[in-house]
Amino acid sequence: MSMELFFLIIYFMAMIGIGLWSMRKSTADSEAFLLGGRSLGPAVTALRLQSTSMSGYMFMGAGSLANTQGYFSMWYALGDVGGGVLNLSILGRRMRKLSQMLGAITSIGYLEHRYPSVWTRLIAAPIALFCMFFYLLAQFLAGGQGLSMVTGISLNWSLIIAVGVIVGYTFLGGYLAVAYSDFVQAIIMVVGMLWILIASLQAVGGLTQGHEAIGNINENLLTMWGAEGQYLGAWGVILGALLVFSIGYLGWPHVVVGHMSMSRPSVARQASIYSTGFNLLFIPSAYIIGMLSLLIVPNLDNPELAIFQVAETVLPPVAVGIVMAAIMAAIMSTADALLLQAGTIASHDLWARFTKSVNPKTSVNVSRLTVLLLAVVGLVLAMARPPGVFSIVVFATTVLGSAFVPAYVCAVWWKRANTVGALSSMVVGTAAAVTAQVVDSTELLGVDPMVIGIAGSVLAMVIGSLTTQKSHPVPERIAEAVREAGRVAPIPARLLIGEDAALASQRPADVPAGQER
Amino acid sequence: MFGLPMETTAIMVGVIGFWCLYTAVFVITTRHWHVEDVDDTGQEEPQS
Repeated sequence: MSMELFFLIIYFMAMIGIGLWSMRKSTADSEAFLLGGRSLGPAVTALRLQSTSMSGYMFMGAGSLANTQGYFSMWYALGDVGGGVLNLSILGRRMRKLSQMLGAITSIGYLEHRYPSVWTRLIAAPIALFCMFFYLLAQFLAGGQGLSMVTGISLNWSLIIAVGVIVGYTFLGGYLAVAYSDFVQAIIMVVGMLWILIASLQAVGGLTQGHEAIGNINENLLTMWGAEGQYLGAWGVILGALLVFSIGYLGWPHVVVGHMSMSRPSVARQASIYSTGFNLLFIPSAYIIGMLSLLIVPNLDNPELAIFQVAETVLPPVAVGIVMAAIMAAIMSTADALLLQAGTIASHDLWARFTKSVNPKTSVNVSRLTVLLLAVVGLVLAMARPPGVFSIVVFATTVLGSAFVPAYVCAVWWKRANTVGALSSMVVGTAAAVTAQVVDSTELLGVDPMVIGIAGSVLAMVIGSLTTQKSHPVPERIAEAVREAGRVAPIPARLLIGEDAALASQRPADVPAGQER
Repeated sequence: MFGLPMETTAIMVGVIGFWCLYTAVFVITTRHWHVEDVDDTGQEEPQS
């Protein structure tokens, strides 16, 4: 058995072990299964946030971009470094408090509680489900390809194994398993990435020598303006690169749900230190290794394999096994969060919400079955090897960010943000991002689709809310909860009001108020 | 610095420095958040 395979088997077994351990704590009720019983501390909160946000892209896409465009790729890294602290400082504490006051346990359900209307969920859930499913599909494919590359097993069997492990621990332990496995995976990711970076720097004689050698190949690679200098003055593209991984995460339902699972609102404060620390170590390293691959593996055929090829060249076989585990960790930590959230949206936010036929005990089982169903559908589609999946990922993540950033941010910061504003924001943000992608706004206008999508959704939120304040005022109970979320003080008991009375009327008749959580 | 053009160095150091500063300011200005670290079942308000 090769060393790489040995480490991967240990790693897979550890993830399943976490699932089994979490299972004992996660089957009590929906809040335990979907939010880990709101019990997570700062380190797990921060590293779950980061590893969920960073998919296989960091080991494949980032290296590829750096290999072909040099320091221009660092615009993405520079936005990404601040993504975690932005998320925690803008949403963290307030979203934790507000979700508890409103009795929300899912990221889409939270939006309906804040912007009370059946249309909130009817619009938000399909957008989120559609985008997250395609993002998930790409993670399955990346996981299968990574496993196949290391083990030599056929891609189809690799897909079955990779998906089987992810489904295994997600199915067993729910959110708690996902959070703790993501925490472990984040540590594996940063250790693996730093190991490759240090060995790469040793191989090229240090950072300064490396830069000088890259400059001898093409001095434009050392500038922030692209290999041909083509991005000089292209501020619309650069702004998009900075935004997509900084404020874009504020709108990703599978990422922001982490705020609702913190053990206390103040966890966000300490988590920000872990988050920025992780990002500083992990993110620039991926791009630097991608650039150094020009020197270490000059005859590289596929730039997406730059980091892996560098690892194979500069590391001993034992280390390559750990690094492969790190690559799988990056992929799996995103896939598990997507799978759980997609399952939650399909089961709780759509099926249970509108059929009114699920009691709290069986809803956990419905979530599990949905996770299984989505995984099987994803696996079958992945085995068909759809073309252009990674383009769909960029598309899906851009649409997610554009559709939901204003809705989540204004939910806690702007008490005049109402249902009409939120619905307009989601629809206009989605339409603007899709249109910008279809007409290729980067080529046509020199503006990234993310910039157009976010601008459209922010405008729609502001105009929609301000013009309908009289006809659709924010209910007083919600306005008071938003004010309370901004106040730094314990939540008064009278404000732990649970779900909206109007929503409660749509609750299954056999579930008394207060027990639906 | 490190064999990079001055402009690249300035952008890299400037933006990364900004995020470090942002994190530090956030942590310092939120020192009082611990006051709400109480039992999450909610706190009764004093009778007026």
